[in-house]
Amino acid sequence: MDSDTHLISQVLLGDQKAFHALVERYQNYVFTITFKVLKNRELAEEVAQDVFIKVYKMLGSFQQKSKFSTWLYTVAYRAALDEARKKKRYAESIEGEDSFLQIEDTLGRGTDEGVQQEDLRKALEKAIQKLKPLNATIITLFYLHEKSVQEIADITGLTTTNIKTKLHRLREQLRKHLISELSTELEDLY
Amino acid sequence: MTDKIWDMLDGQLSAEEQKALQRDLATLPELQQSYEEAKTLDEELKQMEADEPSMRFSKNLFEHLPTLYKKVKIDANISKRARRIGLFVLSSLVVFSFLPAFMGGSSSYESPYKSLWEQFTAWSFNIPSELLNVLFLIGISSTFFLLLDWQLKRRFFNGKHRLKK
Repeated sequence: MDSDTHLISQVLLGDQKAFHALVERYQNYVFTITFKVLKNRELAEEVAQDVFIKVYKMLGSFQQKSKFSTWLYTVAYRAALDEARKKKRYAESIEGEDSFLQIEDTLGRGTDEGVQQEDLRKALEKAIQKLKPLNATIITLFYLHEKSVQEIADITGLTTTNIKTKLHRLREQLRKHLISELSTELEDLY
Repeated sequence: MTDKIWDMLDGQLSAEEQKALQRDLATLPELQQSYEEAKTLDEELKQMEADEPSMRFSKNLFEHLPTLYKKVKIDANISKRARRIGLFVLSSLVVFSFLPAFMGGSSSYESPYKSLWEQFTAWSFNIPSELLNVLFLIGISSTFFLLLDWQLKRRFFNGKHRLKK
């Protein structure tokens, strides 16, 4: 597989197929970021497309001081955030100041069926979907995109200390939330 | 203490800190339970899958790429404008330096530009007139095409490209 650097140089030489390869490599990741922030598939797709267009136009000025993916995700995160501000989608987040999560109990708690791994996964996906855009992005970048704390700080514009604190706090909140949601059934998984 | 658990799961603890935490885990059942829960969550998060956009996503993007490409070629290369201006200046110099000789056809011609371009144009009087004609035509054609190219690109590729939904 061609490296990002090689593909970028090919794009700058006029090879459009190289850009296709870059899009195919990153489209799901970029979409995930915009979707996590905007919580709306259509809007997230539109913004993700704009992100690739913007990146394509700006590729000549990309100085490769950071990884291409970090630069791409920074553009994606900021574009999604701008769109969210425009649409005032923050208002739709149900997170309050004091609570990270507030999720409907749809897991059949109280029934005789044991909680399976799939239930845990669904509960987790739902919980992440309900997070504030920044928090959802941090968790996604850390786990899905396997970005370091420093890279997440670069993308979001926060300090590394802030990211570390948020990561600890978020995961702890997620753990407590899932435990309360899944209660004793989760113990079966250990 | 739970921060230490997450640090350990992230591989951020030193060997010494890890040993200390493992001792605590062995003696504190509640902490052990928190660790098991955190580990399960961590493993689950690591298996997180990317969301996939619709099929329409890449189709739309790739359909518009050729149009976009023309614009990018102009925008991406910042030095292009400088190069174009340079070429324009050079072409102008060629035209104006050969103009006296071309117009006069002999060394007796007193160009109105001679005082300004004296050093630059003096040698051109010794060049055969056929060659002068060719050079003059190249110069004037280059200038014309550069201006035409510049205007056409400004006219047709200056707008924003928005993809169809």
